[in-house]
Amino acid sequence: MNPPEGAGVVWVPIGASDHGVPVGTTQPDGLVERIQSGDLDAFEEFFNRYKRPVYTTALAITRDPFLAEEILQDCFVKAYRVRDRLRTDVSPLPWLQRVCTNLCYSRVTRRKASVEPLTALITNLVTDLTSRPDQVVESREIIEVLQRGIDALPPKQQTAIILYYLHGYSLAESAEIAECNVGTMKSRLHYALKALRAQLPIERRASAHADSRLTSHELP
Amino acid sequence: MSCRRVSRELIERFRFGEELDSRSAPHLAHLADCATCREEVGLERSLVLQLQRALRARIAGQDPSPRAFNAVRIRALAEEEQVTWRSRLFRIARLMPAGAAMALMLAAVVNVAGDRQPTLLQARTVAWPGVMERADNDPLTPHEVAWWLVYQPPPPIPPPATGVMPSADPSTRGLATLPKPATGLTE
Repeated sequence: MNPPEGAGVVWVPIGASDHGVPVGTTQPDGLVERIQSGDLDAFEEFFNRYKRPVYTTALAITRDPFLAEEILQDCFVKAYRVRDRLRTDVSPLPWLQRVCTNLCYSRVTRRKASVEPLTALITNLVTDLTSRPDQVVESREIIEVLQRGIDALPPKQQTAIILYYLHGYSLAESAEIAECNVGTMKSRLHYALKALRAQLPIERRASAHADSRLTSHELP
Repeated sequence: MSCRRVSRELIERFRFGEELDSRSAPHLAHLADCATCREEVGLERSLVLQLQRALRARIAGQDPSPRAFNAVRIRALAEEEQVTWRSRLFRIARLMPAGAAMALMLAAVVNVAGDRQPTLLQARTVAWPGVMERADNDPLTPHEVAWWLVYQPPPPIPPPATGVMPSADPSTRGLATLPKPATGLTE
């Protein structure tokens, strides 16, 4: 996942989890065992450790902070309910993420009509892209188009891009969470990007990569 | 190397963050000479960058509330309590057939025993057959009357005859005098 040595191209930073909770690690401190023995402090520690990635997933899918918090609570209440069945030899994060995505899609489907894109979230994200006002406007429009495109993706593809491009999980980790194999995960990402690319109008595509165009002097 | 192949393979590597190695040298050489492929690969890279920005925008500045764990704890414990009650009920429900069977058996035993010997009330009624009332002066129930008729004790044995014969005439009650023995004397 690290940029190759000597490559002149700018590497897209993919695969580095920014939550500090890698998926594949075991739980050496026996947190799950302590929860299973009825230790509520351990459950609080468990919650604090995993709340952020779970909440992020819920928020990225639902785009509603209140609904995301509700799903976060549901997810951990369920974890407590089935604590005796949680595996102690692997991280519970894939399981939590799986429960979270399932809860999200059951809720979003139920209240699909009421879920509206929050454009307020979009407005503050592109100010650092470039100092040119016309490019800022262009980027905002692109981001807005992409937001709508993400919302329109099928749930499995949406989950794939959230796990891979937002959380930065590896293909194997994303596949484990989504309960599919790596090839299927690659395929979902491929079709998701293809669909998103098709959402961008031609002129937007051109302006989208105007500032990130690869030039021949960047190549080795 | 064709543009199509270069684009496809390089785009896939960019898309999945795979490292470029010595096998990528021909692709990069082609890219250096081909503006169309550079455009195509650059577009893909831009799309991924914009996608990541769009995804981060969805979660920007949002965190779970500080009260979230408290809510989770309350709900989890309440649910556990509910589950405990449900499991208790389930356990009771599982025992119900056995309880019902035991009750039926008990009823059958009592019924059989009741057929063989009188209950206390019935015994008391038998002891005083002439009294067709219970001790509390309530009239007997039809069941008690029926039982009394069935289990009516036998009539008392009459005392031995001592010169007094019972009257053959049913209209005369009490004792009748025996006929005098013949003595051959005329009155």
